Amino acid sequence: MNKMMFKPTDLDRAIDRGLENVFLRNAMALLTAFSGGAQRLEIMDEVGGFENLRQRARASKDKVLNRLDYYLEKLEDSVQKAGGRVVWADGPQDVIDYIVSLAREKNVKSVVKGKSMVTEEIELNPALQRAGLEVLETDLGEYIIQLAGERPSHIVGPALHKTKEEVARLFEEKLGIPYTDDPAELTMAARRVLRGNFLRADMGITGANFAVAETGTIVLLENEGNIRLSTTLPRIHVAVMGIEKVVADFNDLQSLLKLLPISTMNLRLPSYTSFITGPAGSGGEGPEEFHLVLLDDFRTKILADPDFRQMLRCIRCGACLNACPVYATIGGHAYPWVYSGPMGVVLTALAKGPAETKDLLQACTICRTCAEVCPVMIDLPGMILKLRGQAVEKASPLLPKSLALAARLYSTPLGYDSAGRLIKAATRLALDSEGGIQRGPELIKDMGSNRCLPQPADVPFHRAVSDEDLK
Amino acid sequence: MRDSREIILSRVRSALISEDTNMPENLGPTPEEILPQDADLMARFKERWLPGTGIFHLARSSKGLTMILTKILKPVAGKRVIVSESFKNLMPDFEDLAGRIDVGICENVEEFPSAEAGLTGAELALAYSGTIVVTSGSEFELTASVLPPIHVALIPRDKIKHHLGQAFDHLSKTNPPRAAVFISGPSKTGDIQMTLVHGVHGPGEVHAVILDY
Repeated sequence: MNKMMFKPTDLDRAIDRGLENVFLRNAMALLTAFSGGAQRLEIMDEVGGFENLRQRARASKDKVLNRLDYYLEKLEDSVQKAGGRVVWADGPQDVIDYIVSLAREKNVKSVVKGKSMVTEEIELNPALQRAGLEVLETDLGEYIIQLAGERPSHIVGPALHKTKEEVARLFEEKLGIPYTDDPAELTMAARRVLRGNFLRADMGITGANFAVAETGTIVLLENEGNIRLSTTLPRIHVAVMGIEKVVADFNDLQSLLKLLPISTMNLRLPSYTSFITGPAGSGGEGPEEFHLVLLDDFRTKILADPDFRQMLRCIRCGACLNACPVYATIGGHAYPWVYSGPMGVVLTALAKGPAETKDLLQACTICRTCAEVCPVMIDLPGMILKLRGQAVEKASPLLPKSLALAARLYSTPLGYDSAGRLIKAATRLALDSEGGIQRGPELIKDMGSNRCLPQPADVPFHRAVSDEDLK
Repeated sequence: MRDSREIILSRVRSALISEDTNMPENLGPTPEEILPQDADLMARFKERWLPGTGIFHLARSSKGLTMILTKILKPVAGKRVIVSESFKNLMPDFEDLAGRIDVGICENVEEFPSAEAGLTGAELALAYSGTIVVTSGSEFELTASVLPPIHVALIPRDKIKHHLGQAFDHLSKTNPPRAAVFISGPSKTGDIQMTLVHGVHGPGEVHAVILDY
């Protein structure tokens, strides 16, 4: 298990920092506005409507999850038939070990990387760098945060927490270019620098948005073109993928392929959608070798739990982040792991354990907007509530039983009457003559500072009115 | 890694033990956009291609094609271009034009990084999403359409299909290509303060030239 970036008790401080960052909040507001709205629904109405499409997308995912062993073996077989190699990785270290030993065996010095959340999950880059490899992130946002030594703040726009002036200063310092805060000029500078890396890289590492079991095809969506370059120029291509990303066939792929770009960025399709089936072999236009690494880590644990298995449907579209009022207010860096927003809360709690993430699980107002926009109909708020229950039980195992016992006692006539007398005495003590709260815990006094409570009656209702009176 | 395979598969199997495996295997076709029988696919393609900042041209004759290419390649005078096999098949006399407008053709892959434009055909186009599809089936089509800053794709009008399902059907027929890329516009990013910039790694300028003759 990887270390968390900081302990749960630091969450309050992280949230405060996020709240103070007005620039970040405006950026998040822009993102939310951009991704919401009528255009999205119009586009989906062309193909049967959002509800219809996401029922189908959900079914496509459930179909595979319910027979995951069959589809993983089928995928392996198809990739191998296409000339690729499939490697299974129980945990993060297995992925790292494989790539390092492959690099050594094949004399790889320089690696270019496409944006891949699973590789951030396992902290692949620092491990490869420790093994002596040059690893460069090529997605512009990832490149920026790599230069800055920071964490991503959003799964689609990892550097959105930075102003253009900050990027300008960063490039001036790290790339030695004259100061400019024009995004187009900064982008062209990055293009020039990274071009050299693409051309001399020995290995390209990417994730995979989907893997089609029937044909052994991996599907990669992007707007920049860095993934195309990383999967065409270097002689070795390694794709790392969570085992939950398998899709049965191209028919099932369609609803997912329609929903992913629209959920992420309001587009029918991004600039580039690559379908790659195996290596080009020697002399071909493309990599000589193709390796697909299938990672489990905590995924089979989630698969085994019927309450939470649906989390494996997640296609990492970011729609829940864009919809979440909490995320919009506190920003991605307030979350302790690489995944943020509603899906980040659930996945972090499932991967690390609810007791460890008790505070993080509070970062949700249960407004249910995320559940409304999720293209694969994951009930994120329902799972957050369940996880909160688990976290509380783990933290105070006697609490639920104590509360149940107290409720039992309170429902007996003697219990009810005694509790009433106790509450009456305490209330009389706390209130002054006008009904203001003058004694009690700070929180209660704050809440009561502009309220008046009525004085408790001398004779409670249940003794003032007899059963005969009620007939 | 052999151990990992058995470990993972056995974990998956025990996770699924009590499973209801009566899931419908075939979910049926995905709903697609419905167009009238006589719909003009080229018009639909243009309508969906343009907002993505792709550039659209229509060549009604080989002379028209020559004029279009002359105009597009004007800024490339004195430089080189990558020409894919599919482009050569669609315009066999391009070398003559190249000579006239002072544009060089890359002789070998070492020259590719310095090319200013990539000229390709396309396997097909999709009207629904404003997409052109390049594949590994034609030599240099993949590289020519991503490496240089300008990409020009020639697409015979009858290669314009409607929606994704048709693209997948077409591509899965005999000899499916190893790699296919669905291109819906130029390379772009909003990663710096959400400001849209084109041409970050792939071409910033992409031309769809429909051949209608």
